[in-house]
Amino acid sequence: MNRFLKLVNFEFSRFFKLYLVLVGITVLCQMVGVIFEARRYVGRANKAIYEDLLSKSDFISQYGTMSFFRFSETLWFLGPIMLAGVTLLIYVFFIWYRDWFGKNTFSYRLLVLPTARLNIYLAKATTVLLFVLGLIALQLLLVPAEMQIIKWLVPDELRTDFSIATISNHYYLGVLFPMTIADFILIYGVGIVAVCVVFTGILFERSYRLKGIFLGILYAAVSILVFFAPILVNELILRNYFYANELFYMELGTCLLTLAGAIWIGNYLMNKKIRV
Amino acid sequence: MKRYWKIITLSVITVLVIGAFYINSSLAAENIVVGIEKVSGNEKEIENIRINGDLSGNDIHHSLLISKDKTINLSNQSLIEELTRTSTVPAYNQLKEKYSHFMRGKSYLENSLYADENFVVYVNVEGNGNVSKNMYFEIEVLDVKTDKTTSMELDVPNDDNYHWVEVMEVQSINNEIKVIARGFRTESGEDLNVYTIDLDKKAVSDETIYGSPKIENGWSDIRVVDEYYSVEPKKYLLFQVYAHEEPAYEDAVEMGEPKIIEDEIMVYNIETNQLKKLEMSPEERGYGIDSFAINDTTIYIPNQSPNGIEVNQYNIENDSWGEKQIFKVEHEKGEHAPFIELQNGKIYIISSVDGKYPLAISDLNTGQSLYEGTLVVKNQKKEQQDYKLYIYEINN
Repeated sequence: MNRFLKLVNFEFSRFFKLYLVLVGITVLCQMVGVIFEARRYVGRANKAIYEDLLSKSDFISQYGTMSFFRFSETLWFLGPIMLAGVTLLIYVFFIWYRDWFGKNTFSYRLLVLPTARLNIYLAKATTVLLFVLGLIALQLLLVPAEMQIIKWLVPDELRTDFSIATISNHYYLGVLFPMTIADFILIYGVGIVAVCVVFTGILFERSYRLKGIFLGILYAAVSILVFFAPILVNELILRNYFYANELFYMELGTCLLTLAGAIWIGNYLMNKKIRV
Repeated sequence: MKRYWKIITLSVITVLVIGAFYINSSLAAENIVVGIEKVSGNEKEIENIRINGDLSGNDIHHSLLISKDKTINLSNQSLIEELTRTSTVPAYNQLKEKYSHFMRGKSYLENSLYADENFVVYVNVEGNGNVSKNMYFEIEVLDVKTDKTTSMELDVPNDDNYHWVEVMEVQSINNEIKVIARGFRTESGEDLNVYTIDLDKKAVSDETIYGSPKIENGWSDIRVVDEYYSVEPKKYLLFQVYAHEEPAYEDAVEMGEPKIIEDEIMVYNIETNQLKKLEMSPEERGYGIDSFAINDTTIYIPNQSPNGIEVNQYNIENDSWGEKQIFKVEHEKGEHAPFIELQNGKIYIISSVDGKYPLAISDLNTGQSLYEGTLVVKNQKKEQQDYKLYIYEINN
């Protein structure tokens, strides 16, 4: 256990600086963005009301009120989220390949550590999860702050306030911040399974090199097939024999099966087939 | 420990923030509750009532399913609830509970289902929209007493005439199944057909109840009053036929009105295959055919009157008009008319007064009030004060 934690901490520290940069960009961009958008909205309102002599209600019916959701549709808000998403996606590959392509024979040293090699695999997965959840938490801290800034900068009658819980009802933010804790575990659980499948795919490539690319893709395709097997069988062969709730529990089952398969094959490759 | 401070800090903050978010959102959950408060009458009338409505305002919109004891917010359901839900239609769910094995794989088309105490019947048309394939009926019959399922596939007769056949109603009468279906002709227009399926001989015969006239340039349609969520036995089918012809292009300069060729309301006796026209002027149709209801041998036709809702009765067997009943409604003058639903010999009226929504249930024949109550939107937040409740469906 202790070795595992050490490995997690090691992976964590190696990426931490870059992670802080990502956090910094997000905070800076969203804070500047919310102030800019709120002031732009108020400026437009002032111009419309005092220069074009529109009444407040006319202005609202034409442009809508200012709210957090209006801000959440701008690039100021979405840009950093997309950047963080893409970075972490690259990181899923980077976390493995830098051990091989970095200075010295780092992968060699990692693999001869006196610990089960599976720990390396699990530590890398844990690190990815930790970084993802960290950014989710950061966003959850930023949203109320941004709501508060909008409250300060935009007068009451031009503004619609929402509680933070309403972001779960939003059509894409609802995916990142689902409504209940069970949904949260479901969505991020599926995310972990996907990361593990990619990890094992990478290990295929690291074990068999050129041939491994093909094997890795084949493995990923089989994993996806296994994951969706209940739905596919039900739709294509059984003509919707199963009810929705039965299908849901079967999907949970194949989800765990996919995860177990990824970790088991990953473990096998690391112990028997990996090349440095 | 000191080496680990970064990772520990990040983990602790993450857990605290995400935990706080979910504790907060479960406390602040927008549990909109619409209660039904009794004023007078018998509670039994609303025991199984299901009211579909929207609570909306300010670009926010909640789709609600209101019953006596609980309100389900269909637009605010968790992912897991959505993934495990089969249907929100009460009739379908009841069948699913009772005959869970038989109901497997039946598409959620209530029109295709029929149930009485002896049989559950499912008939659907397969092969629609595919020219190269033959259309056939997919038939499954469950004998409730012996728990035996018979299934068969029989060709749709004269299916070359149609590019699409849609089942409107399924009934089971004396070991025969009658399927009433709209066939969309390959040429223009449509037919309302009745297919009689003999289960023992495995034979299908067809007969056209009504065929819309051929229209060169215009519009024709057959509108069947289908009680979407009803699978019960019934004797009559009510439908409206309509056809008009646009004025020829050269005459269009004079802005000619479209020439109405046909506009009739008809009632079809499913048992005896008799078709009858209802003689009534357009004014007498009130809210239109979709608001009509049949109970036993009487057609009830609601209409707006100055003091409330006036319901006309027409007896199909005797061809006679019955006594008019007037149901008084108190309603704020607004954009929306009160919601009316006629069902099982009763009238349900929900109006809107001062942000509250009075519900009145009365007997259609005697005009007597059976239940009176009020729908009240509870725990409304400040920003929801001006939200309005729009009812669009009642099932009981």
